[in-house]
Amino acid sequence: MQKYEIVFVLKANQPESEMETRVERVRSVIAPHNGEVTAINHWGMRRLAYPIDHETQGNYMHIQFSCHGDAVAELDTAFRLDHMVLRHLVVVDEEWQARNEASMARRRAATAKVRAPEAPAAPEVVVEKAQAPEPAPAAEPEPAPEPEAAPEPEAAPAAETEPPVEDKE
Amino acid sequence: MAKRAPKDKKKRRPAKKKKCFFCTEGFVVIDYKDEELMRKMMTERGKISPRRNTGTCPKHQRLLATAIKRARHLALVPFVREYYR
Repeated sequence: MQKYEIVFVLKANQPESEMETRVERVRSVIAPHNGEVTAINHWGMRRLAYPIDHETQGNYMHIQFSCHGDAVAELDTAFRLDHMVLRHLVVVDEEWQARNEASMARRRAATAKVRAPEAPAAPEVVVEKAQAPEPAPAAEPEPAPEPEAAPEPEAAPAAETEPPVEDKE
Repeated sequence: MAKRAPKDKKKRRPAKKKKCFFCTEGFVVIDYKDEELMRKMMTERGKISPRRNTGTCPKHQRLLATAIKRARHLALVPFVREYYR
């Protein structure tokens, strides 16, 4: 089971009930694939950055869900054939907020250690950590045999996982 | 002790190396839904800012480019901003 997210833009002149229909469609498509909607964020009416089909406003909806990968193609087709949907995008949910916050917290902890070098053993490890973010892309392929360097390698490979499913028209 | 350098002798100092914004902030993923951030990393005309201007590291520049392209597709940020307004 993989986590995904979909953002779609509904034409502005459509009533809210149309939005509900789309949300229900997401549910019904993913249901046979062990799917479950985890969060629904209605962004509401927004100005489009450029006109699409002579529309200048759009009704945005962002839905996070988890399901089997087979459902994604089906979902994509369903939205592509829908004339009332101006744009849609289905991608792997990278859970950016949680992951970034965890990484930021780690980073803050590391810099705090650098500023307070009382601990005798700590500085050695800390220097390594502080330098790590810059050369990270090059250093990543190494499996990192030292157990001390655990926090950094953990974060780095995760960032490389490119979401396999994405839809761009 | 000559404190002032002679005017005709203009020596160009190498520019200070910029730090990657995403590295210093500890970003692991770049979210295409963060419109403010996308706009910050674009030029006035809507192009993706080059690394030489922003100092972004290669890894994050790649992630950023993907994120901006996604945001463009959803009309969160423009492809081009023209000055006819």
